Amino acid sequence: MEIIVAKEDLIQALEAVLKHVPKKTTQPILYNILLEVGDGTLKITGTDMRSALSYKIAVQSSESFATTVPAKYFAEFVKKAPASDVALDFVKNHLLVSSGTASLKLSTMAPSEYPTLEVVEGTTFSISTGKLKEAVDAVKKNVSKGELRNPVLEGIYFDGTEGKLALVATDGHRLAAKYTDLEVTESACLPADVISDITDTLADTGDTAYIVFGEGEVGFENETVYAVVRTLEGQFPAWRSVIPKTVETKVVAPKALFEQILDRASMLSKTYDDAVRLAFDDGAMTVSADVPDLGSYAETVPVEKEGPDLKIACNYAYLQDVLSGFKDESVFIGLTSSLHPILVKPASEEGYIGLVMPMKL
Amino acid sequence: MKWIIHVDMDAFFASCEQAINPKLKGKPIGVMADPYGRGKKRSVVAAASYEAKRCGVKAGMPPKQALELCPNLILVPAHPSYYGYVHRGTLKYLKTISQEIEDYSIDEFFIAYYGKSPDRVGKDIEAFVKKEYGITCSVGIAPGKLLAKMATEEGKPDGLVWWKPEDIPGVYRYLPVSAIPGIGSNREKLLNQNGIYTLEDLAYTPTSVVKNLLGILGEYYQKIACGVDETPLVLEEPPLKSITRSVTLDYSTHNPLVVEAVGRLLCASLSKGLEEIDAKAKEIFIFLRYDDMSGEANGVKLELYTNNEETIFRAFRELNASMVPYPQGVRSVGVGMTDIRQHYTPSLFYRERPNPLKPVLEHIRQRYGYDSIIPAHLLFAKHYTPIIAE
Repeated sequence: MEIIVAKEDLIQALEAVLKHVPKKTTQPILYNILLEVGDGTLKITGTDMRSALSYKIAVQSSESFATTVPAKYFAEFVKKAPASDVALDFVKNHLLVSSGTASLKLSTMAPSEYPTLEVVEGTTFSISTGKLKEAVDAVKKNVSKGELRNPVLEGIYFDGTEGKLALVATDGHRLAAKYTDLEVTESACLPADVISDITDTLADTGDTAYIVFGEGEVGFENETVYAVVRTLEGQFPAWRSVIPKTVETKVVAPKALFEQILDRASMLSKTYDDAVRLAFDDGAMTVSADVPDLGSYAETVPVEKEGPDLKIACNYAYLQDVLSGFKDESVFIGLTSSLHPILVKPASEEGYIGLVMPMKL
Repeated sequence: MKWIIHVDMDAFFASCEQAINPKLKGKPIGVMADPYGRGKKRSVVAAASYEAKRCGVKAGMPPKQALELCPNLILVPAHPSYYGYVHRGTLKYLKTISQEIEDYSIDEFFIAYYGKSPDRVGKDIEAFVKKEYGITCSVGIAPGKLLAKMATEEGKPDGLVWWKPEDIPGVYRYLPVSAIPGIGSNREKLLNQNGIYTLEDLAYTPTSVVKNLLGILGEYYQKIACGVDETPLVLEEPPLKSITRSVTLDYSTHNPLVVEAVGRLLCASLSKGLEEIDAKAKEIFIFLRYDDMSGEANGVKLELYTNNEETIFRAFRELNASMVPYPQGVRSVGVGMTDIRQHYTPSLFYRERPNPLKPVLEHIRQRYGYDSIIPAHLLFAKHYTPIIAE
């Protein structure tokens, strides 16, 4: 007895699940994905033990079986399948995957060997997937990459301590925080790459989802998807305390122009120390970059400015990353001294804050 | 015409010691990192005065052997910060002469000089060093870098030798092949076995034969022997990609505390090294070499750019702990940092407070030596390594 699945549905499901299948692991079973058929659904699960995701597709079948197949070959075949449908048939420890004229017979491993995906228990909140995705996308560029002593800096912090969910990402040198109106009162730090994939999948498969804060893990659920992410261990830095309450120099500049200028200045500075110098004089902002033995770059544009003149330097990429977190036409830049963090936020709306620590030159 | 002037301090460390302490003038002295204390096992004579050199004492000699050769030898402790001071002062003076300077080592410089009487410039340099610091230097002037260095050797000590292109064939008739820096005893022996003794011999040997003997470098050496020296000056230090400190232990150990103690010294030295170039770094790694010479490394990215000894050591400790138990005895320990920046972004969250004791510690150590006050950790390292964090 075979079950028939639309190729497009299966591709979409596999794309979401494959993000959780490890590239390298010491447990060979994890290279497989778990397929469970029953009650008119096909459920596909993948995990790397750090996170797991199950994706449900409706199928016409009274059949029920469970097995695991190598994710890579299964997914690749489905992607290249010649017909618009794919048929799955489980016979004698093999999975027969066929589509039109093509068929692939894959060895399987027993589902009993596959780690069980336990349901996360804890406080549950209902959230808009669109808003969650928007918030994750706004901050995710600012996390740290690489093997860190403090792994929480590789994560996005879900902060519910003030009743409304705020998402925060920082690598210790720059920070972005997005305030949402989602009513969440729990907090957890989740790996940025994983959470970004999960929120994409959630937003693609429904408008609302449940988020469950469990012990050391957080679950996400809607009709199609069930995902569990292990929280990152460690104390997230006290981010609220570094956001300046007041600033001395207030600047408003056109955002798109500022981004273009940074892009031009980065041409030089990325070959050397990644630094751009910003000078704010009356009514003008000068962005410059200086590379010994190569040359220097400067561009001056009019801006609105209030408060004392100031010169400051920072990593151009950090500024670009915090600027990419919002869409407003104008950017507000708040400065206090060349040692205080640079505050970057939309000029005409609330809800997003970027901070960049200036550079020591 | 372009001249290369090579400046080489005469018996630099020893001369400095004699200049600081006039009682040592005219006496055979040997400069050592630590002539009295812990260093017995591995510390060697770092430099010998000309008086000592006459008895056969050489740099790199164990003190015991040096004393056998020269019973009157006075072993004196080194003062590296003073050598650095003389070096910087001399460099500053040379910069008034030329823009093109290769800061070759603590006691050697190459400068490019475009003009007529380079010998007058050389004399000025010698006079400056003598007047400012009370020590002598030797100067070699030639059309090329290696030639200039060879010329200096001819005039040492306190000499000035100027090789004009027309002089070169003359001196080459008697200079042995080993006069070329880079031709050491092995290469010299090889050339001698093939009948090549002087630079003139080398110049007249067919290139293919020289290449056969010395490989690709043969061609380069032969050019030098023909008086053609295009060796460029290295004017700028390439930016540092990583900084490492390592040491081989006197006895291998299984004890993590010993590795930690040695690590503490290495971290102190690393921190100092970063401070000297006014830089901070963010990634740290440690590497251990075991008895069978196999190695293992482990690294981590810190939360902030640092050159703080305590922060570096804390990371070292954690990394070391993650490598315990060691599969075999540890014979050498190293620590390094990468992602080094002079221009860096400080942390939003953490401030590093410098150790409030640091100025006091440094004061004590400058006066009484590094060993006068040490972290209790180092008691574990005592029998394993003589290294001293300067």
